[in-house]
Amino acid sequence: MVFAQVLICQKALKGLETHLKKNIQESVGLLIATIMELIFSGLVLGAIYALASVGLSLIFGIMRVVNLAHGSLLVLGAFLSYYLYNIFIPDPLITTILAALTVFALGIFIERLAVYPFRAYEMRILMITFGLGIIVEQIVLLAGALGMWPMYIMSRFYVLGSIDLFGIKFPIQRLVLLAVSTILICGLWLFLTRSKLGKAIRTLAQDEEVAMIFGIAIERIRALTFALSGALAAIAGVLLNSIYMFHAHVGWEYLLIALAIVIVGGLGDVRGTIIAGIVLGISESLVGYFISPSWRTTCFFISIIITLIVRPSGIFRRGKET
Amino acid sequence: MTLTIKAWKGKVRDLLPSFVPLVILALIPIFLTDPYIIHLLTVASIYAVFSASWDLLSGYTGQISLGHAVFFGGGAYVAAFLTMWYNVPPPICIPISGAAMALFSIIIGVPSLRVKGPYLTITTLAFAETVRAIIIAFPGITRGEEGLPVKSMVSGMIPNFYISLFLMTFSIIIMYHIANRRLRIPLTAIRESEITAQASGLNTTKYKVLSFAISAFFSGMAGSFYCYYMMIVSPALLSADTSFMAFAMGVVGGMGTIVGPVIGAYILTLLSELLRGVIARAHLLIYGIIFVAFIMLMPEGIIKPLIKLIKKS
Repeated sequence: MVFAQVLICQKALKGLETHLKKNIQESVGLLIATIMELIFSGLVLGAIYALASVGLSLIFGIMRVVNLAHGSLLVLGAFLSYYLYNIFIPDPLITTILAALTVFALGIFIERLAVYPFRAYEMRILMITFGLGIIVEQIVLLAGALGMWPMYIMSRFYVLGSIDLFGIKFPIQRLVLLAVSTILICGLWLFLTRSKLGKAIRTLAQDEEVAMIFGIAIERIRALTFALSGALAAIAGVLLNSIYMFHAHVGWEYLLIALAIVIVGGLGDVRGTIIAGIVLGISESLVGYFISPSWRTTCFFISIIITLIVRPSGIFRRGKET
Repeated sequence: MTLTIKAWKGKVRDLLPSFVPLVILALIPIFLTDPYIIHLLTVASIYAVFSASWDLLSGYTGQISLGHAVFFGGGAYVAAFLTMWYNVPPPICIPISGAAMALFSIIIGVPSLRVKGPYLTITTLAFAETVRAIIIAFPGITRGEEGLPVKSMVSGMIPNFYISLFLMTFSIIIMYHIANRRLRIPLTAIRESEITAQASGLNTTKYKVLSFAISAFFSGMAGSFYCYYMMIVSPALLSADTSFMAFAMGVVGGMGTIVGPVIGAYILTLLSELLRGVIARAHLLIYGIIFVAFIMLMPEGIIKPLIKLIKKS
């Protein structure tokens, strides 16, 4: 499951052993280098997680509803990209964009058909999105059974090699992932703060009536936000798939991760979500190295519980509690 | 004296319609000897208990739990360990694992029931996923994703069918009594408006935890019988898919009725088998579509129109 991480860990451990025999000072240096590498890989993970969770936070801000199909959409994006890469176009950029666009269209469809008509009933929307998550997951499984894609996939897109800086190794693959997710997050941030549409989204999140008074087409904005969040999740899925192996069921795990990040960052707060994503990504990487990679779900769950006990409105939320 | 007799008569008359399908179910093995149908009905009975126990929590108190599989699968694991390590006979294991799950639910219920609405739903979903990850993280004890083999309780289709039927009847009667007689007022008060219930002096946390524990108890029993019947426990029992089964059956049958989820369990199990010829290996997909259609078009479930139909005729 956690190949890349395990590989890094094993390498570091081997290095650690041989150096311990030589002298302690050197090994301390190596430990620091290992920790720096871990923090770096955590940063990459965190940036992708932030990308995956921002959409969830945006949807909550606007509709006061948690989209439980988010994880399945993320996995669907990864599978679609893999399929396109294998069948049509062996170019990661185009396949990612195509997968994101497909999920975007699916998002509009879902919002129009299954979410908007029930906007008055939050719990019903929650249940519907849960059901849709199951449907999408099962469709991915079924397509796998029909031979569209294998049951387990790992992104074919891989750059070998690494850059050495101050004795710390930066794999180029991770650097690319970090760059892509950072660009997307910055783009989203600019979109939300500068563009008219983004401002409309934020206005709607703050007050629906005021947004209506200002003549914002609420229905259109809602559909757009839902679809945008799905597309971001799909891209995050493609990026994550080059670190972790994917199976159709894995969506719930990523839903849990995204929910943890959104809760820790404060539901509906984009800035808090991004910070929480990076912090939790780094902590996952450290937990994975020092304890075991299989404890990461637990780590996220504990962060949810702590947040709910300490500050339910979100640890990284700016401003007063709501 | 006459009053009590009258009350008893009323009770019997109330309960009579629900005994008719039960008798029909009990007689099915005489007429249908197809082992596959018996198997389906056995599984449906187990899911009926599971779904009804979910309903006791979510349908009555309105605290939607999406991680109920944690009690189902947890009960199955407890039962498997008890038989494997201590050779406890299965009939004793079933209530023990139910009790263990009730205890477990109190431990996690006290912190997580403090939060409301979507937060609770998220916490339960996350909790089930976490327990599943922990089970996979100890392959030395649980054999990871492969799952543990379990000895069956009794061999043969028909004995298992009757045991499941007995378990179902017994659990449903108790749950029905608890939900519609004993705790009806506090539980529905919490569902309608928790703040009002609190303001009128009701200890809402106590009742929420209580219904959580009762619900976990029956889920655990259902899960442990399921593991004896299937002769295997695997982490898949704790996945979101399993939680969804209880959820879908409850919604299709009708939430907040106890009897509704039972009907839902039989309908969905049989329907997905009927449709299996159309789409192979996709019974959860069918569940999903039916479930979403029901929430969108008929959120009250199938039971209300059914009762109307019975009253008319």
